[in-house]
Parts: sequence; structure tokens; C-alpha cells
Amino acid sequence: MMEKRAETNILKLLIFTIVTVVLFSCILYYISSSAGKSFIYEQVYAKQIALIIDNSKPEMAVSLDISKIAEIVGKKNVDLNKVFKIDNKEKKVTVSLSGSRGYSYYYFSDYDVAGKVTNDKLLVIQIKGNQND
Amino acid sequence: MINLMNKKAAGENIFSIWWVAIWIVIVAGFYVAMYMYSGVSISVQNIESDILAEKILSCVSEQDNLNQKVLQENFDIYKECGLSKNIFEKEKPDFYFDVLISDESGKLVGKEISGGDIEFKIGCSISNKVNSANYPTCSEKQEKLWHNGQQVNVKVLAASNQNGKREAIGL
Repeated sequence: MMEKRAETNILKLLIFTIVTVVLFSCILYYISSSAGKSFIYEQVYAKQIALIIDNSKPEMAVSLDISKIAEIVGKKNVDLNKVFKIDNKEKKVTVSLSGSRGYSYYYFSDYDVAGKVTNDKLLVIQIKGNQND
Repeated sequence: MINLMNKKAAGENIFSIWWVAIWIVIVAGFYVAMYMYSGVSISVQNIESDILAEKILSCVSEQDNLNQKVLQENFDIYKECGLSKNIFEKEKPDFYFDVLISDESGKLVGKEISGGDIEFKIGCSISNKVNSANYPTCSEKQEKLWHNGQQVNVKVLAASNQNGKREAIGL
């Protein structure tokens, strides 16, 4: 009777340990996966692009490596061309890796800016000149 | 005997409820951690204010001389420096700049040129002493330039308090 009870308790403990380990593994996998990092990538790229625009001069073109972003959107089936949005009217850069929500950051320069994604995973930011010229 | 078995069963149920409670705490902890993780902000305000100050300083100068347009009555700093007037003059601007030109005796040459949220100027003096996320990050740059054969001191103060945000988009 006592032996049977001890066996049941060990079994319960084993199940509990396995479930906990699996749960924690899933959490750690999610955090370390691309999906878990997408919040950070959206923010980093939005701020980086805004700073590039503000630090540029008219008629400049800057290429930005977006291979990390391409890797994430490839897994999520999101169109890479729709990830980056540069709003010339509002002076706002938005980066969205989900398609529904994105991270937005403003730039203060009055440039006419165009962003184009190339096949070799580069975002070419073209500063065409001052809008008020 | 039956009573004892019922008690044992009740004890096992309580034990399984504890299991579920522990897992709920773990999952809740995960969601809290993810919420905090997604809210992490990387501050670039210092770089932004530096760029703004540098940009203004370079457009009010022409090599070692003061840009003569700066002292004209109709001088438009937004147009001259390629800055967006809408960004600096919106209801709650995230930026501020201030340009002061003074001669060797410290007397103001021309008028003070500023734009953005004027409260940032006070915030800048406080943020030098107190480290707080609520105050703007400021950058001050100075340069000595020539104007009508005399040296003038150009002081540019730029500040940023921009915090980006996650929002719904319609791509």
C-alpha cells in the first residue's frame, strides 16, 4: 500500500517536472526566436532609418542591410516591400513585421525621401532634396 | 474507511489545483515578461539632438564665416536648414532648438532664433543635473565665426524628447 502510494507520488512529480521543463523550453524558445525579437527589430530599424534620414544631405542615397528583417518576414510570410513605410507628409518611419502593428519614429528633416528594397536584401534610402525647395 | 478515502481524494484534488496554479503563475509571468520586453525602449535622443545641433550649426555658417542670411529679418531657418516646420510647430513637438549669436563682449547679434517646444530649454538645464526619462536629452554646440571682420560666437542648443511608439498600421 505504502509502496504504491510512493510510486504514485514519484509519477506525479515526474509529470510535473516534465510539463514544467516543456513549458519553460517553449518560453525560452519563443524569446530567443525571431518572433520574440521582432519588437526589438522593428524599433531598431525604425530609429536607425530616421537617424539616417536626419543625418543625410540632399541627393544622397544610403543602403541599409536588412537581411535580419528578411529572415524574420520570410518565416512569417509577410511581403518585405511592405515592412518599411516612409511617410513624407508626416515625416514618419514605420517598420512592421506583422503587417498589422508597427513601430513608428519621426524624423525632423524636410526631405523628400524614398525607400526601396532590393533583391540583395538592402533598403536603399534615397534623399531627393528639400520638400520646400 | 470510505471517509478516509474521500479525504485522500480531496487531498489529491487540492494537489492538482496547486499544479494548475503554478502553471498559471508561470504563463502569467511569461506574458508580463513579454509585455515588459516589448516595451523596452532604445534611446537615441542624444544622437538625435547632436544631429540637429550639428545640422543647424552647419547651415548658419559658411566655412569660417557667419551666413549673412541669418541676420536678415525674413530669415527662414526651416527652409535654410532643411527642417520640417510641421514637426517643430505641431501641437506637442518632440524637438527644440535655439540659436544665439553674440559678439566678443557677449552682446546679442541679431535676434534669438528658436523653434519647437520652448519648455525643453528649462528641461535641458534640469536634465544636466537630474537624470530622468521625462526630461529631454540636449546637445549644445558652439563655434566662433567671422562676421564683418569681427569674431562672433554662435551657440546652438538642440533637444529631443521623442519616444517612438507601436501602433496599428494600414499598409
